[in-house]
Amino acid sequence: MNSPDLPHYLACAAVLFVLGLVGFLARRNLILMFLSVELMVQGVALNFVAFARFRGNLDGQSFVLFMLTVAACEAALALALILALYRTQASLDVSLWQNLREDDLDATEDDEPLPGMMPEAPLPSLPVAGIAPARPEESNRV
Amino acid sequence: MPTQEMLDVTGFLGLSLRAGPELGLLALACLTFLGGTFIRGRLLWGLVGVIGLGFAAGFSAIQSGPAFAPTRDFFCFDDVASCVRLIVPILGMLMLPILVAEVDDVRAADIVGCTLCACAGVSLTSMAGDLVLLFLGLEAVSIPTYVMLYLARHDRRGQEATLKYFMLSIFSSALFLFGASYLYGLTGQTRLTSVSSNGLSRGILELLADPSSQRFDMPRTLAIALIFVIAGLGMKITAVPFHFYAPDVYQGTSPGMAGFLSWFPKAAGLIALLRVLGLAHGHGEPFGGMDGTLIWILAVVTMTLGNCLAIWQGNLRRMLAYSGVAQGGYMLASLAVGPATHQHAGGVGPMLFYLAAYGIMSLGAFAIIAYLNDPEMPVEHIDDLAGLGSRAPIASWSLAICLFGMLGLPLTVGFIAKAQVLLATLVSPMAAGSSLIGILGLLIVFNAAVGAWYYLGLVHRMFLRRPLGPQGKCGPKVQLAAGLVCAILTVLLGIVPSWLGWTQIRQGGRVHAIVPAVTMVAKP
Amino acid sequence: MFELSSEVLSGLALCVPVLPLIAAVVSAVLGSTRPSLAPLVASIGVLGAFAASLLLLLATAGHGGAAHIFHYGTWFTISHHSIDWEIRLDALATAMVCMVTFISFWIVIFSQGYMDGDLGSARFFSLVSLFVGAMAILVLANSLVVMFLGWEGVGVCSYLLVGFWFRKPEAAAAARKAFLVTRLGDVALLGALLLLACQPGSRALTFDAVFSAHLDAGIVYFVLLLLLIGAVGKSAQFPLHVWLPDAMEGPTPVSALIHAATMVTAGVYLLARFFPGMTGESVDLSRLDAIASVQDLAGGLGAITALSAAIMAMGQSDLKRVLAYSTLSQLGYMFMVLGVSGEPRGEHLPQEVIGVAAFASIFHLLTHAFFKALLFLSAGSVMHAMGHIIDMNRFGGLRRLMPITHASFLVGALALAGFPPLSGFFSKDEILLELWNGSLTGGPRSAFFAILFSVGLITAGLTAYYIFRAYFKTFHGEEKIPHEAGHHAHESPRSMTVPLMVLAVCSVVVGLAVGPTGILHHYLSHSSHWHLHESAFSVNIPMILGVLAAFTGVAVAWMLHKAAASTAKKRSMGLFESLADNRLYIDGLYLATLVRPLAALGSVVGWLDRELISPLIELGATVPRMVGGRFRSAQNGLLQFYALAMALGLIVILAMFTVAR
Repeated sequence: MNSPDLPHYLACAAVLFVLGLVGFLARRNLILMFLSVELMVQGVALNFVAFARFRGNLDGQSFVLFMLTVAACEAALALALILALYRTQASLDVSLWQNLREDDLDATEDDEPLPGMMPEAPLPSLPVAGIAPARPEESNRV
Repeated sequence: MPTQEMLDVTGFLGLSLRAGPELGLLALACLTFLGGTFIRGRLLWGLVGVIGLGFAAGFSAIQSGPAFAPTRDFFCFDDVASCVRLIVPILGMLMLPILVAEVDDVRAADIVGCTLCACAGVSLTSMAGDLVLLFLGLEAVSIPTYVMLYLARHDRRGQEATLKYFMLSIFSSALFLFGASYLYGLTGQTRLTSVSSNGLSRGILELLADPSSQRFDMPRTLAIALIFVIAGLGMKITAVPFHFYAPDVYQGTSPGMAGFLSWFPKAAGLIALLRVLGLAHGHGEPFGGMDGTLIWILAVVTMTLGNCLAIWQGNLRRMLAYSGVAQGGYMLASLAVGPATHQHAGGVGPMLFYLAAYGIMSLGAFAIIAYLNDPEMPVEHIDDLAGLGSRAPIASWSLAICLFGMLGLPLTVGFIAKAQVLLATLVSPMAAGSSLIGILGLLIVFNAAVGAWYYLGLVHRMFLRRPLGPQGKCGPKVQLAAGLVCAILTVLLGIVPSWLGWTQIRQGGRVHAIVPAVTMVAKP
Repeated sequence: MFELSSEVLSGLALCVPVLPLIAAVVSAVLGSTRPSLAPLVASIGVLGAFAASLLLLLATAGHGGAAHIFHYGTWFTISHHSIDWEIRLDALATAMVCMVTFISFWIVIFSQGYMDGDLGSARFFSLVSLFVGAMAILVLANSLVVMFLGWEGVGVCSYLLVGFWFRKPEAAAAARKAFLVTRLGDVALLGALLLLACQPGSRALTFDAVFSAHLDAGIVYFVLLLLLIGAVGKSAQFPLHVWLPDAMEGPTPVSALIHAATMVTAGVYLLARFFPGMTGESVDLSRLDAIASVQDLAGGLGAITALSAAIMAMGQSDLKRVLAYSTLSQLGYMFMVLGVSGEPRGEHLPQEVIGVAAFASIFHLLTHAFFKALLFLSAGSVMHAMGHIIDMNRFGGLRRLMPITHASFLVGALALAGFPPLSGFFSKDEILLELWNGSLTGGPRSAFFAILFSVGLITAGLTAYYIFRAYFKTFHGEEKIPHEAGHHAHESPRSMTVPLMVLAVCSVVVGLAVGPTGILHHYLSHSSHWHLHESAFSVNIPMILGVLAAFTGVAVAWMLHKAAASTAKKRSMGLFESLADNRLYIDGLYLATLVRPLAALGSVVGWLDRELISPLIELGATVPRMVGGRFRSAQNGLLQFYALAMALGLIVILAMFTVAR
């Protein structure tokens, strides 16, 4: 068969969904975890669109529109939340957040710690060409 | 053809009027978010919220009445909806003071707005006749919840709780959506109901005789779709393999917020399950041909593990979280009975009654815990309640009554709720085509006995122990008042349960799940 | 006696449970500010209930027939079941509720003196009123579910009152044990209700509906078996009797009220309703067979309890424990006679035989309530005077110090021993007569009834012995007062002696008034399902044997007392010199016949308690804990682990429902 049929779309969507799922389970960076869920949602969106074409009605398409809107809402919240969390821990590692658990279990230690932060590349220094604007200390650091 | 429907402005207005309470609540929420940036004040916004919810409750009470005709509308105004739309604003009115008293003036407006939005979300879920509306209703509960979790407490523990809830919630909503997409694919529509040839409502799962569906391996694909949907909703219901977040989040957040989590998301999840499984339509083959085994297994595992794990807990909110898991199990057990048939009234009415009863008792318990919680000396461990009986008699009696209710002692509304679920399982053993249902009744009895262990342990600590250390101050009186109201309702509805509405006898193959008695009074 | 309109009757019947409940709430509320008002409120509430039930008794005494059913509203409805707030007023319930409220009233009065100065007295009076209300609900309920409400209510009150002095570890432990052991019975009772609820015929779950439903013999058997287990737990019969002796840690008025007169008799009351009721209107042999096999069990358990508890009572030095074991033994009597099953006997229908047996047990229940409450209150009066010392070795010869208490204890002891014409004599005779008649039928069970009869006879002798042993030790011999008594060592105040006198008069009069005159028999014959026939009082063989046994018991007790006294004082006892010389012989006999079996039995009971009942309760506690412990480690706080567990759960479910089929 030359042109892609419904099963192809469904298979592709399922692959996207499972990739997102595995990413959510395996990635330890909070932002990547969130993006993995987005990937799952996109897989679902592909499902809807494919079914909508197969069924010949627009119900699925409209569902996708609502889904994307909600996903955008969640993205905004996710970024705000992750920012706040980063301020507390100075790290995006999800496994740092395990203080709430059954009270006589030990914390789970990593066998293999995350690679250290990459050394920051030195910013290019510009020759002095005027007076640097005064800015309050530490105020707009992330 | 659809354009005509869309352009029918009077129809649109009529629909808006029908869904007035929800739309009004959402508008009020927007107003509160905006106004909160200009005017600060807990009292003001708290009052605005309570009054808004009061109007919503009144409006719903006037609207609801005898069941509307079978429909395949976007909005589904049936008995389930009219029952939930009355319960939700009333519980919201009890919830708001507890939450508002926990935050400062700056955040008060936001938390009020979020609560209103969540209440509207549960209501919308209950009247969803369409997968889109169902999804939007669920998200209208979830998204404010994320914000509220962060607003209520944002120290390290609060942040961890928010993170866990947020991540697992969006994960489970992706699972739900996956199932929903397959349901759409199988039926070719996002409507959850249709009108069958004999003029009765049919659930989405009964549309599958459509010849165009023959391309799929029907039972298997349907099973996949339903399992994903149930898994996605299971997180909100705290059904057992999906319950893990609950104890951590309850422990990490503030007591009032834990009270919110114990009811509103759970209610939304259970009602959504009711809608998707077609149980709310109560006619024809339950579970669309699948037997209730999956729900049965989930119910058994959920109530058993919830109770067994609760015994171990030293942290008060953690214990109540597990207790909430177990209570979710009882409600699932009621769903496993299935819809009404000609022989029996089914499990839908009992589940809604249980849901309302649990809301009252749980909010009462958390209100009292919030009241006792002193920021300097938080009430975290169950032993912090020791000797409470002499220090704060009203609070401790209210808490004890709510705990007795959750335990299911006679003369509390919890007893009626549990008796109803129990008899639904015992009297209709063959409901789901499975003799397992009768066993479910026995398991509920055993679980109730296990529950006595930790609920009575708390009561024992309050009244029969001396305090272990210095005691903190009590919080705002409004939380005590909310707890007291819940305790009074727990006893009052235990003696006169008909005030909460009652399972009406099903007529013509349709469930009249709950027609609140209040409604009868409102419409002479 | 006189006629009252149905509305008045209905209102009066409602007063019986409601007034004590109101009193409970009011005294609890008043308790924090005006604790001195609590006893007043409680006594007014209970007195009101008594007045109402007395009026009911008098108003319904004249005309018999069907039970009155008063409807006050619907509690709740579940599919086809409608559970109503209804009172079922028949002769049995009226008689019971009269007894309960009357005794409760005098015990409340007694407690005013007894609990004087106790810090939690408001709590005490509130709980006692609550108990009376719950007991009234238990007795009067028409629906089995409402009856279960009362059943649980009295259990909770008993738990709270046994543990009244909860700072004392023994009291807290005893309360817990009482609650958990009776809970086993309660679960069985709940099981019986659920089983009945499942039966299509008995969906209303009222007594009449259940009795008239067409049930399978198998269902009847299981329902009655579960009810029997419930009754065994509540009435502390073997092997669930272990909680009652420990429950004596509670205040003595509580022991008198709950653990002698009222709550523990609830099991007997329940069976006395169900055994005759379940026979149905027509003779259905398979059904009668099912009932009879449960009755055998009841009779057997009753016999074991009656005999073993009487033996246990002989060795106790704690006055209250003597009375506790005596209560067990007397409840065993009531169970024994409930075991008389309805083999057709002469011209009597089986239903009539069972009805007469139930009547005998209820008659004994009523008289026992009076004299056992009297004995407990007398013991309480002694305790009060002796500074809460209850060990009989620490005091003695109190008859001059406390003349009223002495006299009332003597009356109670005589009634318990079954001396004519005190109340215990008539009711015990009725029981022995039924067992005797049962053994004479020549049916397959006559040997069993003969054994029951001999157990009853032996127990009668032992009863007379142990109660008079306690009486002699406490009130006779040399005057001995423990130092803890202090300035309390005198006759108790008026508020305590008046109830003693009233109950003593009742113990003498009640049996005589209602027994041989046939009043009670006539009155209770109106109770539906009992099929009682008029019968005249006459002297008979079991009566003579019973009285002989009682006299023997008292004589032995007296001789042993004198012998012990003479050894202690090392002086001659005059007329009983020869008997005192034979002290060694008697001691030897005593050792061989009583002490050794007693020790053996004690160890058997202890073993049962340790190895069977405690583990059963422990098991209930450990299994969920173990299950919980297994799954705790999953709750490790890692977000991604939770997500993984959710995904795995999902995969397992998917595999179960898609791959497997």
